[in-house]
Amino acid sequence: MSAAVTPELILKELAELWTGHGKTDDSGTLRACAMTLLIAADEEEEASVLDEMVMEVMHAHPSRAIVLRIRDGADPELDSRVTALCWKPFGRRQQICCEQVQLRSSEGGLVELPRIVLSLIAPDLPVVLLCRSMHLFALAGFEPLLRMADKIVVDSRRAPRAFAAMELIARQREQGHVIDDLGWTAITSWREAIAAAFDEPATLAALPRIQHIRITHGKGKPGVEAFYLGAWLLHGTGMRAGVEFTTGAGALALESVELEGEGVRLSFTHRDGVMQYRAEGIACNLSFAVESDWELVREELGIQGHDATFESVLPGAIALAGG
Amino acid sequence: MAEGNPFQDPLRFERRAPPCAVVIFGANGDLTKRKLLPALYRLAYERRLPAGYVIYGNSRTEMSDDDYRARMKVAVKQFLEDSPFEESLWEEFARGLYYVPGDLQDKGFYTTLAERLAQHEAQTAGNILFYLSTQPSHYEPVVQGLDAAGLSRGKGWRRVVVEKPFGYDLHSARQLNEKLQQVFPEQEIYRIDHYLGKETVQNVLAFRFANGIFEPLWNRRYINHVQVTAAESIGVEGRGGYYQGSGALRDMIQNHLLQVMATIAMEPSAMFEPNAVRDERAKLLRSIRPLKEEELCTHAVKGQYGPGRIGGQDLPGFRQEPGVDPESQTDTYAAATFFVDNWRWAGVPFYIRTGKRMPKRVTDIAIHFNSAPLSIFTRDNHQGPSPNLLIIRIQPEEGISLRFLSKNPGGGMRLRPVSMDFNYGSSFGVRTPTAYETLLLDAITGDATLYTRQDMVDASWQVVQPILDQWANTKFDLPNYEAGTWGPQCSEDMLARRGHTWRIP
Repeated sequence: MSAAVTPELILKELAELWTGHGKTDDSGTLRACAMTLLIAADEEEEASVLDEMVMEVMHAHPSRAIVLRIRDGADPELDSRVTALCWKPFGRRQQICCEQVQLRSSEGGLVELPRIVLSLIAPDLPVVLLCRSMHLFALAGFEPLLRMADKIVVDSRRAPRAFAAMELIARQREQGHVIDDLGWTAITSWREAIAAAFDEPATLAALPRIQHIRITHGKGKPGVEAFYLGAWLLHGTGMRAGVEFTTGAGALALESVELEGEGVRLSFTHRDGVMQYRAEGIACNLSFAVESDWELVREELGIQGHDATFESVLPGAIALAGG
Repeated sequence: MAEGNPFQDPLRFERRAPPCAVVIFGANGDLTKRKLLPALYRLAYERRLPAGYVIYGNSRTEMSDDDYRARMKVAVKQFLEDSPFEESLWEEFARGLYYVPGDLQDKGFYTTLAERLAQHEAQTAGNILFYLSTQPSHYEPVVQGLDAAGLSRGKGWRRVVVEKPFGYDLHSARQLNEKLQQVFPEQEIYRIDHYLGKETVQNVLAFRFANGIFEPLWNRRYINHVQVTAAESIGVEGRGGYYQGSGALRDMIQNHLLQVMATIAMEPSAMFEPNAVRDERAKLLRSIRPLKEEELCTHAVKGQYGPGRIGGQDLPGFRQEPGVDPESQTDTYAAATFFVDNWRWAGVPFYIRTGKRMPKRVTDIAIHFNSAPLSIFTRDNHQGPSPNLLIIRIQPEEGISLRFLSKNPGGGMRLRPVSMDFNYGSSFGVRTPTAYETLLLDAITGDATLYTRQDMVDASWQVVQPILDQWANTKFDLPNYEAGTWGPQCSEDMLARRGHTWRIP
């Protein structure tokens, strides 16, 4: 089978896909591509979940999606499938279509993939690699794929050990890769709510007095979200405060944040889809969204280049996780 | 956003509105139903509005908060663009929607309004955006009423959004400004020109100033002329009475199209900051040479549509529209040739046209580049005007096209024009916000970049005032174009004098 999968064959299939589409569709199709999106996932990840994520991401960032499904083992079998992803935006008559190439390989067959992927990349457009598995991200055989990407997005929330995952990200960053982490993206809503509180001049004036940061996470050990948030808060307070992690009763990665100091106490609590903010004389609900995976990926794909805030927070998060 | 807040992250954080109240005067009118409420609902849908926002509507019609909510629900359902209506979201949105009936001339109304707004001060932090969606004759009593009731100043910020027309001519525009500035400082007056809020108009700035390849060509050495077209296929749609007192030159060119021209021709600002961008726009508008008396006949064209037949349907002429004087001299078509007196544009004609009852609805900008200095190909090749044309399509089908010559496949060097297209829809899958969504959020967050400043309004009136004066003192032989055509012959003649022709969009 592996002999049958060649770049030429896949490109021919892609061309035929559009030719066939043009013949059967008389309502008008807009073929859209703003980037190449490489998605690497373990074979055991449920196909329907992955497909839904890809489709939702395409709506905001039409791309040529190249999905790499990697299984354990060393067998050389490689197969491919080419499909069109089409949707009709609300209120429009014309449908938009993107193309998806799926390549299935074993870890042992990883060595074959870069040559094929390289020929499938849409020319002159950014290449983003979304690595759904920290296990794959750590494989030495993955390095050629990392080098093809202008930006790499990983998801350390899936890693068994937060410290090791963040350290790996930092090491790869040192190799010159632009890497973002959905674990960081997932706390944007928290950061936004906290930042908004400090837009109030009186609260901002109290910032130098904050001495203690308490982050309550869900059951079990704190995840990357808690460490990132702790490091970001620490950074914002000029590294003066102490950070404490406490375990809550719920299943959410983050439950509450309290900032305390002389004459100042702010608390942010996430409950039932609402962020409750309390401070001296203030008690209000803020709009808050727990975002799904595809929403997080959409946010990441909207950002080109380096995220300076993430880069400055990452070492602090590793230190908190290691300490 | 507080300065010095170390937690802010503009790369990631959505721009959200701070706590505030929005007060709409003329809340039962067409603009509110078609544009403002759908835009506010959509901002709520996108979670851009703050928790606990308050929207107050006012008109003279007596109705309760619930009656108003019911009316606006129908309007939002009908006029929401490119997005579904969600019942549950509406319920949540409508909880922040209130109504205060009242006559704008009645001082007691403003006291009632102040009392109602004071009840929400904990939620709104005292911030209030007043939106004047009324007839212009009400602008003065409204701002004076707000001032007398103490609503023009207070705990939070107070801003006022003013809809066009900003005056009827240069004199009245200055008078209006004086009245507004007696109550609100200039930086809190937001004069809305919804064309500037359109994504494609904003994209002109990105196209010009974020790319290195176009700006070197963006001058008199390479650009032959520029055509700006804003055509409507509809007539006056029952607004004949209003339109008769306005006309195409006032309604479109004085504001929208001169702003578009300024965006096309302005110099880059030193930074992307409201006053820096507006300074450059204003400078460009001031550089447009007002037409001299002897140029008025050759550089400006007035038109009015007569009856016509489109698609088997007979259409009335403007003078046959309800409420229109059968001898009306109102312009339903206006075109003009402008020149910009600066080093970049000296000698480059900017042709601007707008009209009603034209063959289709389209707004675009066409940049015509000079031909190659010497054609090395045989004479049976491409003939006619310069082959290189850059089209910026504002509506519909927003995008950018570049036309250039290409060799026909096969033997011989035969050339024909081809087009390279960028279409917004194919590169950005997400829905484009409407101009009113953009501009409302800008006003609430205090970003005036896309709003016009008084000096810009003043400069654009100075450009059109000589034409208005001449037209007012001349009796034209109207109508002079049939409904469903691209305007009067004299408009074609205006371009033909320089060897140019209007392109068919």
